[in-house]
Amino acid sequence: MPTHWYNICSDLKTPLAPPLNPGTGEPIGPEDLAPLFPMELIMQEVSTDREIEIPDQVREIYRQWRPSPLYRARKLEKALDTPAKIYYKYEGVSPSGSHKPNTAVPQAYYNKQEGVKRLTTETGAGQWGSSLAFAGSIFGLEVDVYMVKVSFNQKPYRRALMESFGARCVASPSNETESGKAILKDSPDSTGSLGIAISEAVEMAAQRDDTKYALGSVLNHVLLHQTIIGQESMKQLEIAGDEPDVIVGCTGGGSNFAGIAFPFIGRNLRGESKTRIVAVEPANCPTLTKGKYAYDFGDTGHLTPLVKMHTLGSAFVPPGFHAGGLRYHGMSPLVSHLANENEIECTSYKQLECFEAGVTFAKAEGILPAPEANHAVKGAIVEALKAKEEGQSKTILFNLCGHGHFDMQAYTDYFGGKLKDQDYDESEVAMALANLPSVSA
Amino acid sequence: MFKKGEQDVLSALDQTNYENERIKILLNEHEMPTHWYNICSDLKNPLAPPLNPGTGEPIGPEDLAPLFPMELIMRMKE
Repeated sequence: MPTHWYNICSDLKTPLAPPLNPGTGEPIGPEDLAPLFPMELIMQEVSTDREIEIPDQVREIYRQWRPSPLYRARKLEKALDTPAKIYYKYEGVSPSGSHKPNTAVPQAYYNKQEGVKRLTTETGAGQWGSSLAFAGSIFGLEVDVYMVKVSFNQKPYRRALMESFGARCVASPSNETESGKAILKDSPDSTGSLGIAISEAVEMAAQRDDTKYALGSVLNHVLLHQTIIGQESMKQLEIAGDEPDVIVGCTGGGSNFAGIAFPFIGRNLRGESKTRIVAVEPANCPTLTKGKYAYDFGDTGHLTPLVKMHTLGSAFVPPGFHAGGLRYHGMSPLVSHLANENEIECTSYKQLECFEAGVTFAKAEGILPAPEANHAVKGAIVEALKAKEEGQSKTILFNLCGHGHFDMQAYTDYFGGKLKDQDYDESEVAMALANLPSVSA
Repeated sequence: MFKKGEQDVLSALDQTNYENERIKILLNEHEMPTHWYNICSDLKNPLAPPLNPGTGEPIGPEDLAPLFPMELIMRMKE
């Protein structure tokens, strides 16, 4: 298992645009983030060191399920009748069934070290919330999770898992916060969004000295922690005697994609390889493919710093489709930066074709993917079929970031013909983008 | 992060540090059993035979044939 996380900031050709204070328009310093995050994570957020050591205590907990297996999808290759070799890194073996504990554990660890008693957070599909609940239970931290209302109602078993780990789970928007109340006043039937849930969690964390906030994706330090996925994959592929031609991951906030791809992108940036990297997002929340690369708020209530990222506008509430982890108006600044510099390819697929791909995968490989992961499966299948058309034996690696055992309602709806391919609302996005904060940078 | 050439050293380190406090004990794929174990071979007393509810007589393989493939019926008999 790797002993260090890989920090892609060390290899970027041009530096990342700094986060800005929305009041002054000036770059924020570490002290601006101190009310929300422990200092160690803030230092990781701004670090340009290539390697950051994984604390022994974190590695010891990682070993509960890591290294995660790399599978050669021989049965899927056969089902697709493709000359391509398909590998997938399976993160569903973690305690919460996804890649999220890779960052939940170190975040809880650093907070515990700095005397924090309680963590607040948001969750979409519940994968992040249950991962932070797990990490909180290990380190004896209270965890309050604001769960996007549409997912809260769709996924009662995710809530039960969070509660099993001792966390409190609240449907967002809620009446517990000013941000939640403001949304409910305007739209009492709001299905919620990650942007709203983030506002609620940040607001609660800012109110108490013993409470800090934890984010499941988007930020540099979160993506940093996930790089253990790609580093393990690199070693496992070396053992398999293969070298990937293309790497595929799905993107919501960017963390599982970054996890598998950043160590390989780092190699590309250093001129050591030319691996193609493909980010797949849902067609009805098309942040990277249709969003604007601009400074925007990370949340709906405008409590966060401004970050430069691909955004659909912080007021945009994505339709309530069944991949809650991908329903975010923004995108990690690092992933956005790489997309803007053409270091990665970005594409989007519709909900139904992704479920179809997931079912094809399950029939062949026996693992039912989370709806989020279905986007990566779809992307990998497209690459494998392209290889077949071109008669080329390509090697494809994708991140199967979680299993779908808590998402059976989504599959029930899919098999019952209840899922539709809704388009995103272009006029709503246009309106949300018209209200982007103005900054000189 | 792994660097080329350092990986074997890291693996060796991993083993030194963790051999005594290993959490997961995993087998390789080739170490998977090649046979199932049949406990009937070691029972002190044989199992009472299943009976035909109509005749009260022990049932034979042909009675199960409509329900199970013959290979599985033969396993039951063993």
